[in-house]
Amino acid sequence: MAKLFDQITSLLDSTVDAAVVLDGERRVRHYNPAYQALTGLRGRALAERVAAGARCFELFKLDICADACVGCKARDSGRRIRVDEIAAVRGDGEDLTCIVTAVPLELADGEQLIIETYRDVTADVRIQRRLKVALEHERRAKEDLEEKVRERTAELRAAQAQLVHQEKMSSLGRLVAGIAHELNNPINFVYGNVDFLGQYMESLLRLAALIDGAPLPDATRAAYDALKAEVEYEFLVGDWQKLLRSIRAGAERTAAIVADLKTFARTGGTELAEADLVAGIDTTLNLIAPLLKNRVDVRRRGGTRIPRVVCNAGHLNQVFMNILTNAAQAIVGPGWIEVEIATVDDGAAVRVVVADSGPGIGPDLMAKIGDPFFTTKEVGEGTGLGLWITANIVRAHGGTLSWGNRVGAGAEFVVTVPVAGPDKDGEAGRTP
Amino acid sequence: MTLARPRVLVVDDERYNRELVQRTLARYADVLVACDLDEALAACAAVAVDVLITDQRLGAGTGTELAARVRAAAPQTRIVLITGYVEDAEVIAAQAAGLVDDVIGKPFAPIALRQRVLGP
Ligand SMILES: Nc1ncnc2c1ncn2[C@@H]1O[C@H](COP(=O)(O)OP(=O)(O)OP(=O)(O)O)[C@@H](O)[C@H]1O
Ligand SMILES: [Mg+2]
Repeated sequence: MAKLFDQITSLLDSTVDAAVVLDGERRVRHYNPAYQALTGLRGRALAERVAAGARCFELFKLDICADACVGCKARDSGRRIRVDEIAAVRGDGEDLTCIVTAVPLELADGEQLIIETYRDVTADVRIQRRLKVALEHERRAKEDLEEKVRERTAELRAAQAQLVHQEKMSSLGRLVAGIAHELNNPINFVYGNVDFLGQYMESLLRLAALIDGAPLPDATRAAYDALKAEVEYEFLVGDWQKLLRSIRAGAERTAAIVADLKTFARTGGTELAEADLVAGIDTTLNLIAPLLKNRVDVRRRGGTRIPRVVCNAGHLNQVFMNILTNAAQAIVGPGWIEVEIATVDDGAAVRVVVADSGPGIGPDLMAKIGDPFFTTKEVGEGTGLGLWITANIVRAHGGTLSWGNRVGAGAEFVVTVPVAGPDKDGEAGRTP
Repeated sequence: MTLARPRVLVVDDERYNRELVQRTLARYADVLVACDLDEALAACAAVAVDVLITDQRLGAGTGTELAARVRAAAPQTRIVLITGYVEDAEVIAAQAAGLVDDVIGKPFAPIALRQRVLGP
């Protein structure tokens, strides 16, 4: 009996962890050298306190002694208890963190004892905490960096997109201006010479009329009449003016298109000026005509008595170009595009609605199609910049752009711009 | 025009336009033609030209350039510029500087050209 107790105490004396043997009342029956260090008491002082029946929590107090005594739990449950990371204060005032274990022990004579050990893990815990803080810090730094990289990449992509598009539009402008210029001369000489052709024809017909009324030898008259029949003279007399009219109309219409193209090509500056949106839309429709030819029926509604709008005409033309091109591209096979132009806000704004008979915009794409580089088109067919740039331009004009689907039809895009143009400082009306 | 038959010099690098202007004026004026700046200057140096009609774009050189030189050499010559771009900055500047007396946009109706050049 005494033998078991002695064996246990001698074992405890040789362990590195602090250890005590307590009786059922938690009076210290034995302690090892490491425990003495925890109490901060000298050897004799401790021995005297122990001899006087000191309880464990009077010598070395753990945070949980008061309401969750580990030893008591072990004693009451008859099981070994271990609690990690318990705060304590060492005799010399130093804060500690300990792992506490308590093991109940019943001696042969029935006496209930508790063996408690305290392992000082202060250093480990401190290192772990520091490591945790350091790791957390590093994680945050990494996240910050990633966030910055993301932001910067987005900025760069946006800047690049703007450049690419500007370049695209200015080369389109140059191309259009060049074509317009080259067409000028041929139109001029077709148009100008028609008048002369008319005059020449009149002269020749007067000559013929003179011969008609003149006395001719029979043979000559016969030959003359035969030739008249051969060249279908009567028909010619009735037709030549129509013919000249159609040549003149053709030249005039071409001249009008060229004039439109010249307006369209004037995308250069950033100045604001009053412009006719309806004319801009008509020009754009002319320009994309090859995409629509005999396939897409364009219906224009409204567009009368629309006030001129203070804007950058070239930029707004890009807006209609992008939206109308998208509509034309969305329609596979035959279909229609409807363009409705109206004044709204008591004449303070002009609204252009472009609807098409295409497949519409899928609900999952609704929020995405305005993002730069978002495209559902083949590589080389779309860059995904059209709507993004469109939205930027409309916003810069103090207007709004929205889109949705029309029941029983395809997509619908709505552009609204204030007639008076953007606010001077560009503050109000700039809802993204 | 005070003269009964004024002498007109038509300068254009586009043959058909040259012919058109010539055709338009032939009944009312003595028309000379030139297809570039050098030919035009040579013609002006050789004879007194009452009216110079020049296209703005001439292969090498511009109508306004020609106008400046003719104006300096022969200030009494009336100068009419034909251009596809009436709002071209160079054209507007030449007009403002008094280098050209009239600017006619392309395409033009022959009668209108005749009236602008020779009067009604
Ligand atoms: N009228 C429409 N009907 C259906 N989907 C549309 C319509 N307009 C745009 N979209 C969708 O929005 C996407 C983005 O359009 P956006 O104009 O921004 O780019 P894109 O047309 O693909 O390429 P880009 O205009 O640069 O040539 C399109 O790829 C298409 O999926
Ligand atoms: Mg597009």
